[in-house]
Amino acid sequence: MGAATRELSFAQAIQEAMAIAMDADERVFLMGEDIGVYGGAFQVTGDLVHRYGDQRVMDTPISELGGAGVAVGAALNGMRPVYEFQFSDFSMLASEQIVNQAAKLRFMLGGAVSVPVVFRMPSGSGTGAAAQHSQSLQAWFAHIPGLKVIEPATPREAKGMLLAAIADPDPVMIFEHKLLYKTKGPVPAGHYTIALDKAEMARPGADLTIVAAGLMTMRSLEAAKALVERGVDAEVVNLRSLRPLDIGAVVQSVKKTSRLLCVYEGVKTLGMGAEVSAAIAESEAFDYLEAPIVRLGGAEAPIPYSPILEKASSPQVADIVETASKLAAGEM
Amino acid sequence: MDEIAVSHSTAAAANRPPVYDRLSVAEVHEALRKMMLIRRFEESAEDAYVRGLSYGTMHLSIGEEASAVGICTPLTDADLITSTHRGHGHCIAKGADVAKMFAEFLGKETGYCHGRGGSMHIADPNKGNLGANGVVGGGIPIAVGAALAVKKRRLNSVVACFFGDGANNEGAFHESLNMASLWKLPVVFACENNLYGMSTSVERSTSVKNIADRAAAYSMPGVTVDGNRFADVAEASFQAVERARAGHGPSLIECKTYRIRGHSRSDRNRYRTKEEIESWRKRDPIQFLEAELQTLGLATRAEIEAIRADVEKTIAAGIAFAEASPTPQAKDLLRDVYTV
Amino acid sequence: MAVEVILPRVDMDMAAGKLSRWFKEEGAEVKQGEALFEIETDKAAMEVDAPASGVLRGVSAKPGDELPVGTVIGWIAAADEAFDPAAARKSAPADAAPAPAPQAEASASAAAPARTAEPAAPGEGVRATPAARRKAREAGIDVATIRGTGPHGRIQTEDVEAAVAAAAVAEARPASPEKAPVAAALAIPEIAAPDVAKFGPVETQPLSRIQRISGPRMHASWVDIPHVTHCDEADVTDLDAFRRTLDAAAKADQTAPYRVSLLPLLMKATVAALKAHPSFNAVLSPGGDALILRRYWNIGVAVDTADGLVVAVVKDADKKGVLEIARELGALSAKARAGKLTPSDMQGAGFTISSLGGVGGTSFTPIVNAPEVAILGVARAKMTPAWDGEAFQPRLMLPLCLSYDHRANDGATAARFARLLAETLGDMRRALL
Repeated sequence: MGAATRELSFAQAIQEAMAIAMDADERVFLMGEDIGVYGGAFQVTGDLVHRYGDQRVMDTPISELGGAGVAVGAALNGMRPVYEFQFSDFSMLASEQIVNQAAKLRFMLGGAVSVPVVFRMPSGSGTGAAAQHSQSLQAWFAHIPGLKVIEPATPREAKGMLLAAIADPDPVMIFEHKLLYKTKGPVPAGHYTIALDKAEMARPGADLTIVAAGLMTMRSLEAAKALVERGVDAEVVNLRSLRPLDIGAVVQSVKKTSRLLCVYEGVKTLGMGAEVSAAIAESEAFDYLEAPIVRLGGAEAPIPYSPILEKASSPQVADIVETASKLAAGEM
Repeated sequence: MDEIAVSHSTAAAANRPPVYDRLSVAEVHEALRKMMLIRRFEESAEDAYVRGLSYGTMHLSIGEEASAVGICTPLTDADLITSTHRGHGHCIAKGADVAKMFAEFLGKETGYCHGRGGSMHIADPNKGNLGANGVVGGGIPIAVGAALAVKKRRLNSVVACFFGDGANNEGAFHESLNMASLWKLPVVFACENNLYGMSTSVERSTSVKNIADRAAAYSMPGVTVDGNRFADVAEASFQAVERARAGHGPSLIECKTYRIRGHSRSDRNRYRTKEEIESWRKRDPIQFLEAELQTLGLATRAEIEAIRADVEKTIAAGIAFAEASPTPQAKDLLRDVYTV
Repeated sequence: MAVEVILPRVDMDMAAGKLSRWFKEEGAEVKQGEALFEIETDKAAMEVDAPASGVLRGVSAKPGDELPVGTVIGWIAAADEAFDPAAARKSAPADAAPAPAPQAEASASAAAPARTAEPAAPGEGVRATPAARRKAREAGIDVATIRGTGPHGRIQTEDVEAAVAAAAVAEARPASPEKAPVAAALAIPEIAAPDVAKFGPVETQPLSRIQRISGPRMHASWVDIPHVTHCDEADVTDLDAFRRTLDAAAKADQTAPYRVSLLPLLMKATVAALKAHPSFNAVLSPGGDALILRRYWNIGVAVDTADGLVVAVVKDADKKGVLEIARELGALSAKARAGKLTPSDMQGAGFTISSLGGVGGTSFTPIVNAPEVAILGVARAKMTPAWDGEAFQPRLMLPLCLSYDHRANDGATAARFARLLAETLGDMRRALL
């Protein structure tokens, strides 16, 4: 409390977090492709290499599997690496080390070790980068016990959650939506953390609950403003984390509003909405539902290049407004 | 680039392998003891398995004892190893308690992993063993990462990375060797080339004649040794460990050896001949070491038998411990998924 | 697709009805809107129209059958349709479940509700949201009895709330004897009918429909309501003189002659008295802790018919003039004697007047027509000597017998009401006040 708050971009907030973490703990270091003098593909690491040197801001060869494994090994042996995948899509190459090793070592070894590694990656669609550079793979990784999967929505969240992730003794994957990097927001100076296991009530409302994370939270908030003109008062629950999932917050909200809309950019089938819907249907909130639970998710197709198609494949603000209106009007 | 001398020795020749200049008699006896312990552990594990007393599968390293013990001989508790799915030998070579290994093998709460990991994931972090790994090539990047940490923490330790001939074709192998060399990390890449990756011979899988030939591609020294000769393996290991500790970077040691048993218990051995197996059985590393030590006057028959008897006791006690240990409870299923 | 013909609910508190006759036979062609069959209810017989055009098939009820509301008694199939009654029955929604104690009905309809919705697929139950189901559970209502207004006919919370609200303000209190709480609580012992044939020849005379229906209701009213009958008399000498002139003119009417009895005047005076004493134009709330005062003045009038006494209702008597009421009474009486009163004609009274003056009598104790709280019995007007302070004058005195529910009004109030009524009848100008 009382720390100066100023406006930073999402990317700047992440950079600030990494600097603060490195200042506070010499075990923290960064790894990734082109994060050094290049400053990172999305200029997130920026000039950190000049401030912390190339041993703490390490450029790696293009070796995602090996690099992720090195991060795991370093974490096992007393370091706190923060590994950046240049695009979340490339985490696929490292799946073995993330899913088979990082997520499971503690458990398989009966609690004898912890793997305090952070994997950060730019994620999501909307930049014309097409199918292999635009995916939202959070749900895949959130499916794995032993991992933590988070998705900050604002600059303030990006900094606080990254600091929490670095301090976390277990592997954390951070999905940073590319379209958020340039968005600005108030960010307190100095060190602070935001819990990785609690959703946030981004906008209280009465008529329906919209559940989202990351960029979709921001789109949902924008939609909520437009919905006011249609006489619909939307409540927006910002999940922040997919694993662990704060379903309790969603339960409380649905009990109040009786209608639920899940908004996510990952492919609709078997994505975040599928889990939230099922969890709500299983919970005490079931008896408060006044309408079917509705999911607005990414299209069942690889993300296309052409802007019209790319937009059509991801929930836009207008889509959220349309669907929420129908849901609140009892038309679904 | 440093050259590492490849030494040959035979029991008949009076050439005393140089490694024995580095080791005390006690250390030499300890090496033999460990090799016997590995052999007896593997045979007991196999026995339990075929009697249906254990679960899942297992991958035995009978016949490969010399490479495990040889590589680990220069290492201290402060040094680290990563291991493979065929890692019981590495574990014992790095000083593990066979009782806790037996317990893990039987899925008991008192095992090294409290029954959560099983045969393929046994680890002993207190003794620097970062664990066996169920994914071929899974431990290689991890070893490099551990070595990166050593360098950053300015420790004096070395990381020995065990892997087999099959792993040397995994992408992880190439990425790891590249980075270890690039950053001059203290890693000893120890390849146990037992000539087969499951059923596929090295000839059919690998485009180079010797796996050690690949070291040059990553600007590090590579040496091929007789994996069934303790002395040869240990000498190569000492040289690689010294190089690493001196900050000169990693090395690759290829130990040519052979697994007497199949890949796993269900292996029908259709891909190799009985003759081949027999010929390697004649080159039993334990028998060879026993003979060598007696020839060099480093151990008497009686001492050897005493060691053997001691090993039997240790094995028996370990099995008894494991059998008497409690099984885990279902209510504890979610323990240790996360640290907090 | 065959359309169901069901026994409709026509009265608010109707749980069952009797099919009295079919106008069409099995296999006959029917036109939508044509009279198809007739049912008898507590109140009156009723024609029910065909809900669709086609051929009448699968007739499953015969005259005399008493069936729960909603029972499917036939089908109307297309002319060329191969109709299988068994299959149709299987695909029909469950035949109506009778509503539980709190009757839920928002409005009584005069015509049979046409059930043209497609029959539900086999195995399909009630579509209701989880929240609606919970609300229904909590309110003790069977969700299947609620009409859904959501998408796909889904029952939503607001539908359940509407049903609950309707039950709460349901006008009709259960009138059937088995529901009269006091009677049930009192456990009135039955008087066993003796075998009278033992003592001599006998003849069985079935009670008329009206008797059969009104009998139990009278019984229930008698037992349920603590009756007091307050008697007073009104000097109608002048009023009757006025009436005679009106009646003479009415008889002589060129277009449509009618009659003017004392009743229309009596009704206007009653309305004036009810406005001053609204507690006699009210019902007790279901909880018994409040009087629901009516802000409308519908006066029921007992009409003698061949079958028995029925009550016809003149609606909004406060808004109608005497002559209008007289004409309406004439029409209603004619309808009543012809047995053609509609449920609407017989519903909605807030106060009833039962006049036996035409027949005779000096006084009687009428039974309150529950759920009303009072009834005015009027006996025969008689020339009587009345003391005017100096001498006896011959005055035409009309006996007024006000029976009332003592839970709604006490003796003093009733006396004041009766006195006011008498004074108004004595000087009709008071009705203008």
